[in-house]
Amino acid sequence: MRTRPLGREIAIALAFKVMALIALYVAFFGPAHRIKVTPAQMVETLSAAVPR
Amino acid sequence: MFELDVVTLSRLQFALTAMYHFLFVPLTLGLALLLAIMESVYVMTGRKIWREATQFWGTLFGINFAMGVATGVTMEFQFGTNWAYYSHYVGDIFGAPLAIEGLMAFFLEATFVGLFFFGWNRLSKVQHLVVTWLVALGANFSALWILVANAWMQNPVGAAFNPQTMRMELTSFMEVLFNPVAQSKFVHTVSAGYVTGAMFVLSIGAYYILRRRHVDIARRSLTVAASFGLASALSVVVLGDESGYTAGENQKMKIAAIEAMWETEPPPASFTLFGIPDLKSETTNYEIRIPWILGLIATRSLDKPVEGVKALVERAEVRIRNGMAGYQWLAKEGGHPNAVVPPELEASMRDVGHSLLLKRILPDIENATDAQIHEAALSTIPDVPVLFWSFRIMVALGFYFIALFAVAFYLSSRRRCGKPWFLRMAMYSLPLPWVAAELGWIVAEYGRQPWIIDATMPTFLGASDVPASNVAASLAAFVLFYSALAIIDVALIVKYVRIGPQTEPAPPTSGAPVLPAPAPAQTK
Repeated sequence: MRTRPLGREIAIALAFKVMALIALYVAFFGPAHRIKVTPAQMVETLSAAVPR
Repeated sequence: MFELDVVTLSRLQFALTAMYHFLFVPLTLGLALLLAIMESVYVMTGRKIWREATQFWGTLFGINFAMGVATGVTMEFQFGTNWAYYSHYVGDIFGAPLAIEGLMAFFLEATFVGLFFFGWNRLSKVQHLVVTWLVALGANFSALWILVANAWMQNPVGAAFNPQTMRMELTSFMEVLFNPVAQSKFVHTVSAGYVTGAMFVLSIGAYYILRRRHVDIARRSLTVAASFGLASALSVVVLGDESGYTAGENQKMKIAAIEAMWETEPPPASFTLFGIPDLKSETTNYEIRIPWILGLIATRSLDKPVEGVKALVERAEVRIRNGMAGYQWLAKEGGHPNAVVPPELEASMRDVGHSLLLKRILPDIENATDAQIHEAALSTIPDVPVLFWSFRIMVALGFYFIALFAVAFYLSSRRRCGKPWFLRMAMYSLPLPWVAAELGWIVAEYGRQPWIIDATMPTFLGASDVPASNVAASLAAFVLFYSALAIIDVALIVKYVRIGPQTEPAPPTSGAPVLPAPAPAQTK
């Protein structure tokens, strides 16, 4: 009796969560936003002229 | 005041997601084990009421699991964007336990959670019980791996710096896995989760008894929660002491800050029960001290001193100076395919992390003055008042849990747990384990500052070169997303607590009996 409405509510909540996570990923964290650091960039950062 | 630069915003975002994620984790850890205990009683006694209790608490466990699952994924999103330098520097080590944790959580834990919910009428009693125990084990094992990763940030063992790739590389997986900080952190964290699960069952059970609803299930649940909670609350304090000892060995500044201990104390050091830390005068006013206790916690001895903040700042100054030669070499030779640390610089390379603290003060650190080196050394002191109070409130709550569960255990063993004062106390204590757990993480993580990896990499150097506005925008989106999830989660849990357990209808009191009455001989 109870599992059906609860299952539906959880399914709706999970669907909302998955959509929100995908939206967050695409908007802020996808490959386009990711920063690839090379050893040379690491050295550059450590010896940068401006304090970070 | 906070300066909302990219480093501060990235830290805020990570703290928000980690703290939000950890609202779900302790309840999953604790409730999973309580479900396994209740179902074991059902299988051993065959009494339906234990099955109903397991299914009811299982429903609440399911809501918490569904709402909590994947809320930690957002932390992993952030490594690649907000913490790119950190990810490059330690990805070789940090990535492995993180990946194992993901596999454990998504495959072992989630698979058995599915079987738990859909297997009641498909599996035998014993098979279902095995599944429930595997849910509990899976939850605990995935916690182990994430804590191994976190402990490495507190005590980076089993790794070496490679100047050719400019990153830390794994030298011994076993050292990372058996890192003493990881072991003590794991047992302390999971037992805090058990306390949370026990308090959840105790509080909701108390609510039902006060309302005279579902009293049979509530009384039984309360009895299990009382004994399990008492054992867990005792463990969390004892195992927390072990965490204090490992911090005393590896993170002396954290211990000194937690204690607001400015001067090195002659052994055995006393523990400050209460005081008001004054940062300007570097003293603690109105102190109430307990002799010997800190010496025993931090050094397990009565003859070793516990170093104070001032002595540790002096030592940091020495390490900053020592690391400067290594830094200069690294700035010239680092990243070259043939770069090899000259033997005469090996000792200096161990302190390069400290000399990097100067980067926040001046660009060319080889020209640092004594005053600037002292300023960098002072930056190794974490926020003393925050650590001092967070730790004390957490510990006070830990002792409160022992007292509450001891009373619950005493009353339930005498079948007198219906006392309204006790039931109200239990009900209103519901949020306290979460408060204690979050404060524990504040002590652990805020107390690690200014390091993202202790004594190896300052936090400000781990953050990416991205516009602060980008991080502010994603932080705002996270606040919206997590607020919506929190509302849904609380609403669902409250709704299903109000509905309560589903019990089978009571046998009819009149009319024909369902089963024939036993013969007198059988009754005997």
